[in-house]
Amino acid sequence: MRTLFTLIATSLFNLQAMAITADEVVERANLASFYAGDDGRSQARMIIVDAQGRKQTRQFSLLRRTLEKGGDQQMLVFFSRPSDVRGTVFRVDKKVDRDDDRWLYLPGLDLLKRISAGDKRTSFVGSHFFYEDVSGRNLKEDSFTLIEESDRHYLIEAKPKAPDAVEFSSYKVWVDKDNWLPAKVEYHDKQGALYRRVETVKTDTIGGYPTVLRSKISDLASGGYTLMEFRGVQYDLGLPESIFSERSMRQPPAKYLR
Amino acid sequence: MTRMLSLALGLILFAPVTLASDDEWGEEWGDDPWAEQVSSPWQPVSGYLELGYGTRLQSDATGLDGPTLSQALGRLETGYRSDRLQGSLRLDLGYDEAVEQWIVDVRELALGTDIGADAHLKAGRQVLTWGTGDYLFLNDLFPKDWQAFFSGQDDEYLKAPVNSIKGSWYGQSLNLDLVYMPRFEADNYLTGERFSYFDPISGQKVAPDKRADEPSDDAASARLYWTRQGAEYALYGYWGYTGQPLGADAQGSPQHARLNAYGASVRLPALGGLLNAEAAYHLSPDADNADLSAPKDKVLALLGYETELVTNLTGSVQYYLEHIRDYQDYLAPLPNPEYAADQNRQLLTLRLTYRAMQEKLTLSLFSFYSPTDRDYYLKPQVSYRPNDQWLLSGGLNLMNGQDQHTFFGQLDDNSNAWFRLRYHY
Repeated sequence: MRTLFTLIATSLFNLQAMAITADEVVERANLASFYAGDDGRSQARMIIVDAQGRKQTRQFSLLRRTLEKGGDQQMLVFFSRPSDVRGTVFRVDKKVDRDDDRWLYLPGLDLLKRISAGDKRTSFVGSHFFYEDVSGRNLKEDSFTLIEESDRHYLIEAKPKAPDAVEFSSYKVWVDKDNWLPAKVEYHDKQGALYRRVETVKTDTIGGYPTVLRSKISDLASGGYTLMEFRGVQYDLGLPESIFSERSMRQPPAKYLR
Repeated sequence: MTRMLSLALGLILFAPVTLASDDEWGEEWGDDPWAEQVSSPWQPVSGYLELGYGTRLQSDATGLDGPTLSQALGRLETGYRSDRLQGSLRLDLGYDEAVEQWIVDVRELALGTDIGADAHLKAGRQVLTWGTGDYLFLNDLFPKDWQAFFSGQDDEYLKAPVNSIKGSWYGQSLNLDLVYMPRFEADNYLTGERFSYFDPISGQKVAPDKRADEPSDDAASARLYWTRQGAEYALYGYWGYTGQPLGADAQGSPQHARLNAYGASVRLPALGGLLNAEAAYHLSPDADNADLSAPKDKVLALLGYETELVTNLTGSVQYYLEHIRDYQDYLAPLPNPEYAADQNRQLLTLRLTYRAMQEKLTLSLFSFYSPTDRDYYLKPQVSYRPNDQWLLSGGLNLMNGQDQHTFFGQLDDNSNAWFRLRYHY
């Protein structure tokens, strides 16, 4: 009797588990990856390695504030290293319904430059990460299929709705069932060949939110890759909306950057 | 030149060799520098050492035969940043062989502090920039360094620092900047020290190497700006003098004439890129002064568009118009009206920027072309940044035109090629 009950319960549970749609998985993964907390800060470092093994680094502090879960966000990126980019500030108003607004502040010129929205799939400050990898690709751009479920992952396949607008033909995301963070993303080019891979290397739970601390992105075609590490991650600091402005780009808010 | 080259070679030989590390997440990610940097209000000391050399591509009619750029420069930067006080220092020291002078250039030495929750005050020597033009300035009348621009120095040097107090007020929907400059500071314009130009009185190219006296008077500037639905709007004002000595006294010696300017700009995302429009009215209070020949009032207008043409290639175009008011009054006193500026000087610019190899390589071209003056200025440039320390760049400044008296046409003998080697520390 007990066995039968367990059997029924298990199959019901399985049915329920299987009933999750690709869109639901992607939505939860999106929230886990980019919307932890109402706001947050962290320090980040990138090591950019080209095919010949030559390295560049970037170090920056990041402030982020969410206006609506899964929706619009504000972001400020303060570069501290290398020394030729120290003081440079990058600001994004991420918009779900239209192109993001982006600005760059160059301290030597005291120039606040607006950047045309353009192609989001171009290098983020010289790294192998794209702007879109850092701020999150709009879920409306792709259609998703749940192609496999294992004990640990949901495997999602994504196809772009406008294939001409992007360099990939499809990508696969292994979403970790424990924390909803993508464990791995693999991009296939127009010929179907695997050419780009993002891997989550280290995660931790901070302030109750599963957080990626280390990730690696590889350009399999060229052999180059970028390592990104986050430190000093904090959530729910109560960052005021007003700091995401021209003022903070010219006068970085010291209070929130320590 | 030989001395500069051997120094350059020496620097290259000392270039650190980067070895691929097996433990990629290892030592370099150690806590120390990171932790140290964020906890102290003192900003790290950084900067660069730079060698630059540039030379004419043709002989100069006035006999200028030295290099257009030949300098060794050291940049030192640091700062202090706490909640209450922010200090910044940006200092250049070096030697300029082209003019045989030592360089001591305080590009920034300023203190800033918040005043209440909504205002900020920054006082000292600082570089100030606003407006929407790309290499075209309608409402940004802070000092420029045109010698640096035409000799191939980094873009940063186009803007000259100025002693000033900048007060900023940040409101709910409106922001205001007020800048007071206790003493007007002129542009570093072309004097003949390094670059020759056309003199409309004598009708030939000259290189007098003389600067006009700067008026010992103050100047001020203001900007009121706001954002609405992704579009940025601004109103500007300026009360001071022309950056270049465009006027002349009764003896004919160049003078900085008074200039008041009022303008507006808008910048917004549109048509898959960025659109900007700016206009300014340059009011010349000395225009009717009998003792001084001064420029007439001018209306300036600019329309620009920037977009990413293909991945990693950005293109932008600008249309610029400079309209002289009371044109007949402007022409009447001129000894040689055939050298007069056009009533409607128009300018088209094109900028192409291509980035490759994880942004290690940047190719760019900026070009000015004036259909009314029938002259041009091409500014191609290559920069290569093999790692975080080294930056090697080179380029050309090509100026020419149909006539020898127009804005860029007069500079044809100054066309030059340059290269720079920079080591960041």
